[in-house]
Amino acid sequence: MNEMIWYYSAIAAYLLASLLYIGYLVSKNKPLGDAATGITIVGLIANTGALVLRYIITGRAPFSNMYEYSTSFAWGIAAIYLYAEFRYKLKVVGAFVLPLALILIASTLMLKLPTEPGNLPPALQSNWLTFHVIVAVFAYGAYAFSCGLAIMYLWKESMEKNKSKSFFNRELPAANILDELSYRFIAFAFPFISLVIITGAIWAEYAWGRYWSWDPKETWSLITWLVYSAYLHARFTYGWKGRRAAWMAVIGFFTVLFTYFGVNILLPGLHSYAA
Amino acid sequence: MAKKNKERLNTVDEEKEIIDGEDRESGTNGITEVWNFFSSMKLGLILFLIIAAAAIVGTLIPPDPQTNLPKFNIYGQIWFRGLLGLLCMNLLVCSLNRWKFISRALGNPKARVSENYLKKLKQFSSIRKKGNLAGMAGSLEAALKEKGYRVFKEEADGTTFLAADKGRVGVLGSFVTHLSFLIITAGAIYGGFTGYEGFVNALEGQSFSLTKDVSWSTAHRPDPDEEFQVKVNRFWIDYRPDGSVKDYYSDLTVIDQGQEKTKKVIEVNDPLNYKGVKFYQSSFGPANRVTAKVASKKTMQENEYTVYEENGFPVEGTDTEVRVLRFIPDFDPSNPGQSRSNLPNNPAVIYELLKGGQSVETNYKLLNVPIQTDDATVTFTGYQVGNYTGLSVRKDPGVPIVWTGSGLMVLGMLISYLWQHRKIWAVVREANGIAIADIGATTDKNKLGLENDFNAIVDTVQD
Repeated sequence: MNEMIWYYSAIAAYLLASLLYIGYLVSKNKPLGDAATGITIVGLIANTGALVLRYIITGRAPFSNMYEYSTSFAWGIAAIYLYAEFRYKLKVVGAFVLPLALILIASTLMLKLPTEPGNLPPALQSNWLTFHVIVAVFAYGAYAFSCGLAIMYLWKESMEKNKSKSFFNRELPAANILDELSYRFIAFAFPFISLVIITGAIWAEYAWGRYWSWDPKETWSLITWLVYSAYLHARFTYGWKGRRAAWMAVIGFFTVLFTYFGVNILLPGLHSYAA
Repeated sequence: MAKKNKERLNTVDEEKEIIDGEDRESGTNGITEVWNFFSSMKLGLILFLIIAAAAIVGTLIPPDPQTNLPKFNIYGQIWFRGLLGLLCMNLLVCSLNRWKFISRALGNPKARVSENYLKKLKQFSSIRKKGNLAGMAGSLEAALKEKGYRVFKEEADGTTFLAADKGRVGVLGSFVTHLSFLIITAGAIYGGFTGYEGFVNALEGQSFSLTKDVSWSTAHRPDPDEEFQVKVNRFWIDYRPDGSVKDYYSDLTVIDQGQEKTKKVIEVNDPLNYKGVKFYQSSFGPANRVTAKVASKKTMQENEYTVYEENGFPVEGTDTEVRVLRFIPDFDPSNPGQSRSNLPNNPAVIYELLKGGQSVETNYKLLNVPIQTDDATVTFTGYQVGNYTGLSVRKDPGVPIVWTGSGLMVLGMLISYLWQHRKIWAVVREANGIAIADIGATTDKNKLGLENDFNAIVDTVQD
C-alpha cells in the first residue's frame, strides 16, 4: 500500500501548510509564509503522486469512489490556489483556502470511507466520466478559492467599516481587491461548471438514454449553476458587490459541497456511489 | 456640434439601460409596466432563486422504495414548468432588447464624442505635446493599430475625433450563451412531444416488436408504420477475476420489413440506434428453458418442445395444453415453491394443465418422470438455465437540438472569454503650437486588460 504514503503525506502537508498560512496571517513573518508555500507545493506533489499511482494500479482515471474523487478535488483546490498565489501575490488567502483542501482530502478518513480502489460499475465505464470529472476538479477548485476570498472579504470589510486599528485590518488585502478577485474566479469557473453539466448529460444519454432525469445529483448541479448565474447577473447588471456578493459566493460553494458530499451520502440516486 | 455631442451622450446612457435589460419605454401605463417587469433582470434573478429553492425541495422528497423515484415529482408539476417557461420568456425578451446594443457594437463606432463624456470614463488621460494636430493624431492612430485596434477618424472645426475598438465579436458571447439556453429548452420540449420511452424484457433467440411488445411509460407512442422487430441473439455477463460484474451485453439484430437491417452487440454506455430509436442495456433476470417430450394418445405421435418458463406447448390432436410455470433446480418436496440451492441436485418443473383454455391442474414433476394424463404422456427431459435481457427503448428527436444548444453555450462562453470589447476615443486639438489629445477608454469586462492597452498607448504617444 505504498500509494497510501503519498496520500497521508498530502494530508500532513496540507495540514501543516494550513497552520503555516494561519501563522503567516497572524505574524506576517516572511520565512513562515515561504515555508507555507513550499509545504503546499510538497502537498500538491504528494497529492499528484497518490492520484498517479492509483491510475497506474487500476489502469483507469482515479474516479471510482469517494476517496478518489475527494483526492482529485483537493488537488484542484491546491493547484488553483498555488496558481493564484503566484499570479496575484496574495499569500494570506492560503489561510482560508488550504483548510478547504485539507477538509476534502481528509474527508475520506473522517467519514471512514474505503480508500481501496473500487470496481467501476458498468454505468461508470465511459470516457465522458473522465472528462466530466476533470472539468469539475477545476470548477470546484476555483469555487473553493472564491469562497475563501469571500470569507476574507466579509471579515476585512467589517474591520474597514469599523475603522478597526487592528493588525489584521492593516495587513489583509483591501476589501475591494478581495471582492474583485472572488468575482474573477467565479466568472472563470462558470464555463467549467456548465461543461460539467453538459458532459454529465451526454454521458447520461449514453448510459441511461436520458440526458436529464432530475436525479438528485443533476438537480443539485443545476442549483449550483443557478446560484452562480444569479451571482454573475446581479453583479453584471446591478453592480452587486461587497457583502451581498460575498455571501452569495459562500452560499454558492456550500451548494457545491452539498452537490458532492450531501448528495452522495444523504440523497439516493444514480450518483450515490458512496456506499 | 454641441447638440450632436448631446445625442451621443444620450446614446451612451441608452446603452447602459439596454445592458440592464430594462427597456424603459416612455409612458407608465399598465401594459408598459407589465412589459418592463417581464423584461427585467430583476424577474430573472427572482426566478433563478425560486427555481433553485423548488429544486432543493424536490431533491429532499424521499423516493419510493419500490421504484426508486420520488413519491411526488415537483419537476413535472405545471407550476414548476411554468416557472421555467417564464424564465425562458424573460431571457428571450432581454436578449431581444440587448440585440439593439449588440448590433450597434458590431458596427463602426462613432468618432465624435464630447470631451465631457471622455472625462467621465474611468480610463482618461490628457496629453499635451509640442507639435501639430496631424502629428499627434497620426501617432495615436499608429499606437492604436499597433495594439490591434480598428481606428475611425473624423475631422471637424479644426478638431480630429478618433474612435477605436477591438474584440467587438466578444459582445456576441453572452448573446449566444443566452440563446443556447432557449435552444436547449426548445429541444427538451420538442423531444417531450415527439419522443417516447419504454421497456421490454426479451428472451434469447426471440424477437420483439417495437409497436406491440414494448411497455411504454410515456403517453406518446410509436406510430404503427414505425414498426420493426429486434431479435435478441444472445445475452451475457462479463465478470472480473474477483467475481464482480464487468459489463452486460446483448447481441441484437434489427429486422425491418422482414429484412435483416443491422446487428450490434450493445453494452451499458453503448446503445443500438436504429432510425432514431435507441435500445439500452438496462437490466436482466433469470429465464430458464425446459425441454419436454409429448406422446399424444390420440395421434400416437411423439413431439419434443423447448419452452421458456411461463410458456406452454400443445398436445397434438387434443385441446390440452401444458404450461411450464417454473423450473426448480434443487427441488424440496416439503417446500415446493423454493429451490434449496442453485445447483441442479433435484431438478423439477412446476407446470399447469389446461383443457380448452381452462386450468385443470397445477402440479410439479421431477425431471424424466412421466406425467400421465387422459390423452398424453408428458416427460420433462432437459433444461437450460439462462437469462432474459431488459432493454430500455427510447426515441428522443429533441436530443440533437439539445446538443446543438449545449455546443452553442460552450461556444458563447468561449467567445466571451477570448474577446472583450474595448473602446477607446480620442479628441485631438491644436493650440499655439501645442497638440492636445483627450483620450478615454471603456470596456465591460477585463478592466485590467484595457488599462494595460490604454497605458501602453498613452506612453507611446507621450514619448
